[in-house]
Amino acid sequence: MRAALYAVSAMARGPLWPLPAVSGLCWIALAALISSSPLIHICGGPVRWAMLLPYGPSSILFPQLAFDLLMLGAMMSPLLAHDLACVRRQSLAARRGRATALFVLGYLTPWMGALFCLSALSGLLARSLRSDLAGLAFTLGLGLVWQGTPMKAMALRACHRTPALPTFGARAELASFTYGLTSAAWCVAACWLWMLAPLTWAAGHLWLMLGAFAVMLGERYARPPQVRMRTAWTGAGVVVAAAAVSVAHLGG
Amino acid sequence: MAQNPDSELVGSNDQLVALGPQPVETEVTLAPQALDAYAASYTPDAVARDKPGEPDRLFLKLRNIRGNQGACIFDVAVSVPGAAAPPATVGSLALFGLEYASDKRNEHGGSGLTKTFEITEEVDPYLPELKQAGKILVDIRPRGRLRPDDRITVDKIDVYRLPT
Repeated sequence: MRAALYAVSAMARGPLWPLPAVSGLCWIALAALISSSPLIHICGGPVRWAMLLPYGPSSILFPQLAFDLLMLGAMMSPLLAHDLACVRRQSLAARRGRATALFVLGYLTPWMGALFCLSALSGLLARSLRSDLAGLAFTLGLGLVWQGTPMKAMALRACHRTPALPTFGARAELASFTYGLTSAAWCVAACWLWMLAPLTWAAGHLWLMLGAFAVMLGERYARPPQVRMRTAWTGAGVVVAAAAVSVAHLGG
Repeated sequence: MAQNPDSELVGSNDQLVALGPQPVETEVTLAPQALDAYAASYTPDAVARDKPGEPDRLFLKLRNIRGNQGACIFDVAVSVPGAAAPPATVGSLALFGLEYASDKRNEHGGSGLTKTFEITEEVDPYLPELKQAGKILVDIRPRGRLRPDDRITVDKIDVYRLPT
């Protein structure tokens, strides 16, 4: 976590200061939105599942999209320092702004899709486990299982990959966009369960988001873990997930 | 994460270069705007011996060098097309740690090695030729022998200018 705090403070003092600034503004907007709107209409719970149903209220889609964008802005901006520095350093001065915009667009595309799927999954969990807290416990169990697998370590290591981006012509534009796509894809692979957790429990959404943000920030700037199976993590995860399912069914 | 000097990309070869037992030559194309900015740094004040300051410096960056043979050395030389001078050696490429850096399971996802050489002294006597050609030729030749199954690639070669 120390490395993450140092990274954020260096970002704030350097040319990448807009990243922590965007994150801070998005956190303020999220807090304002949550305090002024009925939470259930924005995030979490079975309502999000409803948007996939044919008779689902389409009126909730827009606030959800806005909320998803704010969520990504708040949680992901400080994680992009390495990628954005890579894009900007490998772009000619005349197209730095465009390269940055294309990268961000590419980065948002998979994440918006992933958040839509995670929202539906959180709704599915809430419906099948009949309790937000059981859904949260189940998600945390899955998170521990995923944390213990070699795939998670591989995904974290892939997030540190620095590609060589073309400099001239259409190839350069395309590469900025595809780097955003691949970077986000690895980021989704590394963080999806931590992003699912806040969606499962509407009442504690903001706090769970803060927790997930701290975990992701720490993981992004720490030395990535070794690529190996961690049986203690996966075992604990299986126990927590199984306990969540059992308690939910006993309670139901 | 210390703040980096404000360097600017000037040009690139935009292609993968495969190194082998034979010398390889590749052409780094320079962007006209960036090249003009570099040339503009050669003001009378900047080149005068009795005044502080100096023109911009140029650097060659070999990005994402990957391969399976780290125990070899390559000499890197640059020349300007049209200049009456043979390629000037700017440094040697020692690839210690190449296999580890190329492994996708390593901490940096297998990005490989990146090496930088300063080329200011080798290029600035030929500024008029450089402005005309808009290119720098990079010559990479192995020192010693490589086996047929040795594979070493450089993803891209960039030229950066560092305003002083």
